Amino acid sequence: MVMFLVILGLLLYSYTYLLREKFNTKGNLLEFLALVIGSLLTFYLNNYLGWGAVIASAAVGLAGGVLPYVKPNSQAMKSAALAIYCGSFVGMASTFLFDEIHYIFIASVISGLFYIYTRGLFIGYGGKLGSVAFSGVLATVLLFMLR
Amino acid sequence: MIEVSLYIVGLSAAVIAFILNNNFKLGIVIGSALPSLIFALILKAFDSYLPDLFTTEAPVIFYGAAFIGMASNKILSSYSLIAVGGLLFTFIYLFTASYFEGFGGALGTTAALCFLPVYSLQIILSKR
Repeated sequence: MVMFLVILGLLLYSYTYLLREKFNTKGNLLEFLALVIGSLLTFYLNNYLGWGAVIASAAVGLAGGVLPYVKPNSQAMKSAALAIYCGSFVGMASTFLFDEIHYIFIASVISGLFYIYTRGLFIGYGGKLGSVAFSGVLATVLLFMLR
Repeated sequence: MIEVSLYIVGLSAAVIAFILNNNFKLGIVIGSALPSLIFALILKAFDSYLPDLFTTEAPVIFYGAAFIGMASNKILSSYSLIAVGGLLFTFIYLFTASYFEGFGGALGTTAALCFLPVYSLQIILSKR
């Protein structure tokens, strides 16, 4: 496990180094955190408060979507809104699939990494955010559940 | 009859989200989340008057089809093709829903899989 994490860390570092012109560390960190928070919040509302996947995700997405109106000229708020919306798709997973809370955390971290590394691709195509969320969930299921 | 209404839900969700997103300039997040939330809450309120199948599936189909409406009009400009995307989404969802129950992001992936064929249709049609 430790070995795996070390290799993963080095791999991510090398990617970041190779793509460093396109990177903006502070902005990416904000997006990453926004995605993880959006996902955990949706998961909580969806499963523990029983709101159901659609209402929980739409409510969290809408709350995130209002952020750019709070500070209209801020690019960071716009990207955070998108990241929260993407995170809310990860949180639509149910407790049947992720029966322990750390799985959803891992899924959102993987989705967050995918999100950051696929920035700038497929802008304006419907379904991109959902696919990023799905890849994170699928990676978690493949890593931990199909043993 | 319920299936037909689900197709209508899918079609209208995609078009509504597309119009809110591009014509009203609400942005992709609010454009798709707001109508879905309103629709889901209305269905929840009228839960007891509607058939079970409709109240469980329609909000999910609406939400998923709204993702197709998140497309930008610079990429896909035709309303009718977006509507076709919504219908296609409902068709695929009705067959695949049971396999991806509880998966986060499955709706978005299905939406992307419906958007891309429609997008290629637009390319083929515009080349003529």
